[in-house]
Formats: sequence, structure tokens, C-alpha cells
Amino acid sequence: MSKKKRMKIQVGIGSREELDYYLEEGVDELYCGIYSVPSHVEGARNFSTVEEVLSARDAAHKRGVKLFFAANEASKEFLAHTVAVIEELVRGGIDGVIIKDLALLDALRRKKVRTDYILSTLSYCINPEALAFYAGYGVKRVALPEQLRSSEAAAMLRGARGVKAEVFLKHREYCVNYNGLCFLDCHGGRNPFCERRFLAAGKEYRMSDRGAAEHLADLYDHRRIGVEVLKVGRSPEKELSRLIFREARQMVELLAGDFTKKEFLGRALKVKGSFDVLYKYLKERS
Amino acid sequence: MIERALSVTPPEVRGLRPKDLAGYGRVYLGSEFCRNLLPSADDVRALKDKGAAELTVLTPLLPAAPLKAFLKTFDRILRVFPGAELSLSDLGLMRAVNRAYGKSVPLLLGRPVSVDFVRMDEKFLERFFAENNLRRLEIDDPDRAASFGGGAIKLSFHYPFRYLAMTKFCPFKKKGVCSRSCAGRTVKIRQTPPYSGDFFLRNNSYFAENRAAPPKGIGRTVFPLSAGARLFRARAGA
Repeated sequence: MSKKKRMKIQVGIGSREELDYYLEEGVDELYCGIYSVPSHVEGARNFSTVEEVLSARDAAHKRGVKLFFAANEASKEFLAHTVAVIEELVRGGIDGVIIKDLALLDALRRKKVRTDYILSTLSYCINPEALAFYAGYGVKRVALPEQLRSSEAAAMLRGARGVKAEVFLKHREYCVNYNGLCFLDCHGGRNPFCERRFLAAGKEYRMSDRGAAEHLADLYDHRRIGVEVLKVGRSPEKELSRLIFREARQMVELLAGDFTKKEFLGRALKVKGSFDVLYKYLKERS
Repeated sequence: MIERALSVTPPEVRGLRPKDLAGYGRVYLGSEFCRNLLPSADDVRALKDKGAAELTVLTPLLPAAPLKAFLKTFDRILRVFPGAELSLSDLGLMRAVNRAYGKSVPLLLGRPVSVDFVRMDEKFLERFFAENNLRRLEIDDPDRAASFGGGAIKLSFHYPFRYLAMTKFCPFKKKGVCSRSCAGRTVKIRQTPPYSGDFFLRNNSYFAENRAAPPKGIGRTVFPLSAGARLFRARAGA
């Protein structure tokens, strides 16, 4: 497999143990948060202090791995604190910041805080005009909104020179609703509202999702349009993140091969099938 | 005095009667949630013929191709109804319209992103509104509206639903095809044990009920035609 064509894998971590695990496993990029900076993701594991993050950065850099900081949302009561934390982390050599809120991007731009800004997947940036708007705030990389299809992402990224893109392994990590604009209660990520069974006019009602095959076909197309990073989020359980990482690694290897979409899909669904058993076991155990 | 507006989707325009417009100084046309409910210039012309005095065009988030198409449609709409407001959630649409019309089109920051923006720093919001020609913030959450401190920003308050979530997998579609069958419909969804409580599906979005009286400082109230606008207006004391 050609190293040049291989997608990078970025993983969200929340502890020293996870840091060591993923560095040992050869991860390409890492990101993390700290508990005092809310980041929208319910149940995400985080570091406790800036010092812990900077210590993690030291360990990552020794292996040539970048570490980003996820700030995502900064409501008005957290804005000043979040800006102060980011300033400290940037001074300490963090590799970039993942942000959702325009107010936070604006505050950092006004303070001339220079780092790599990654637009969070929770943002609603879905067309070239929106991307150009955010580029005005220094955004150089965008984690594609989960709900954006590859054809729509291609149209957004076309002509966006120098803007890199990331995508989640969506057949494992996906919200059926626009997650950046969802106000349903996910109970810490362990019991998502959207996965419940409902009744509408006396009949069973469930919130729809795409099938795994559609998600994987979309992943193939995302790679073909130049998306460079496959992202593994911070889930409530470290074992779940590890499982998704292992599956992501196999998908990345498949994506690096010269397969047609149909061939990729056949192989990817087999990989998925082999992991399904493990996910089922993990779910039953928890 | 609070301005009253009626909100309709394009498929509802044909059946709109003059008496439906009575008591409303403005009509909101389109959808903040679904790109398949964007109005055409013909919809606007029909609405004008039925006596709509002022117009606000509602728009949702728009990927590249629908955005490009809508910009052409909006140009035609402005020729039919000069002075129309544009309610938007898409910052790309905001940028494009401001560039095309030199900030002469009044813009409103619409649901659902307004719900996200109201928790941000108010000084930033006031500057953001001024820089981007945003004239009004559309909101449907009484608690968020009451705690909003952006005094220089005008607020509209929407009844009778409070936004919860928006899906890209519209339950009204049949085999992936939209026939706009959702227009005017509200589906009550009931939770099953061990959970309790109801919520509502309208278009491609989920809502809770909003029957609160308009919070202090609200300058405009908006009622959908299809949810018993007068009834809810009376109950809410608006």
C-alpha cells in the first residue's frame, strides 16, 4: 500500500493512558479537551488541567504526532476562560484548536492568537460561501459536518485552496440529527434520545438513519475528493474508542488500495461485520 | 406594540384566504428547516395578490447547489416584492447576499442557528449583527429569550413550537422523494416506557410546545398558519 495515499487517523483522547495507547499504536494525530472548557460532546473524556495537556503534547511531539485542543463551544460565561486557556496552550506549543463558535474565533482573532484553526464538525459550514466566511477567521481545516454528503462536501471544498478536510467513520459515529444544532438529551452519550422507540399515530416511530453501506460508500467518495483525515471521536468509553480506531485503521488500509467503489464496499462491509460482534459484546457488557 | 406575522409554507399559499391574513402585518414564507420548502417568485406573487403587506423569506441551511439556485430565485423574488426581508441560518447565504446586494436586503438570523447564537457573548453578537447587516434574531425559546442580554438586537418570538432538533432524513419522504406532503402537518410523537412525554414533528424537524407569553423586549411574534395561529395567539396572550 502506498504511504502517500494513506489517510491519516486522528483520535480524541482524555487521559494519559489513552495517549500512551494510541502513540504506541501509531496514531497520526490526536486531539483532546479539558473539563473546564465545555465542548458540546456529552460524556466525552477529558484532561483536567492545561499542564496535563501540555505534558501530553510533549509526549506526542516526541513521536512526531500532532496534538490539537477541542474547544468547540464557548458560551458567554465561558468565553474569557476559554480564550485564556487557548492562549496558554498556544504559548505552550499546542498544534491547533478545534472550534465551533464564531464568538470564540472572533475573540481569538482580535487577540491575534496564531495557531491552526480547525472548524468543528458541529459547525454548520456546508457550502463554499460559508467556508470562505470562516476562512476569514483563519480556519485552515474543516471537520466536515456529519450530515454533509460527499458530493456536497466536494462542492464545498472545490476551489478552497489549502483547506484540509476531516471526516468521521460515520457508520460508527453518526448523529441522525444535525448534532451541532441538536437540543435532545443524550444522557452523557450512553442513552441517546434519538435511538429510542417512539409512537406516532399509534405506530412505532424511529428516527431514521442511513445504512452502513451508504456511509461506507460515502467514505470512499470522501477519500476520492481529497479528504485527508479520518477522525475517531471521544466516546464515553475508552474501549469503544479503541474499537473504532482499530476498525478505522483497517478502513484506511482499504482506502489506500486501488479498489473500485464496489470492491471497496464489499471488503469494507466484511471488515464492519467482523467488528459488529465486538461492538455488540461491548454494548451488552456496559 | 408587538408586530404580528403569519408563517406559511409555499404549498399553503394557494389555499390562503384573505381572512387568514387579517391581523397580520407581515407574512413569513418558506421554511427555516427544509430546502424543499423554499418559495418561488410565483409563490411570492400569489401571496402579494392575496394582500400580504410585508414579506420575510425563510431559508434553511443550504449546500452549494441549492444555495446557488436559491440566489437566482431570490433575485426574482426581490423584483416581485422589493423590500422583502431574508431570514437565514446559513452564514454562506449571509455572505453571498451581502456581497450581491451591498447590504441593502434586511437579514434576520433565523432558527435553528439563532438558538445556538443566543448563548454566545452579547458584545460579539451586537458587533456581528452590525457588521453583517443582521437586523433581527428569530427565537422560540422563552428561557433563552428572557436571559438574552443583547439589548441592541431586536427579537422575534415564534409560536407554538420550540425547536429541538433537525434531521436530514425526512420522515415524510417516500422512497427518498419529497412531495411536500409535510406542509401544514404536525405529527405528535409519544415516548415509550420507561420514558414519558410528547414532542412534535413538523417538516424535517422536532419541536416541543411553546405556549409561553412573549418575553420582555419581543418586538414581533410569528404564528404558523397550520398550527391554529389564532388559537395559540389567544392562549399565549400575544
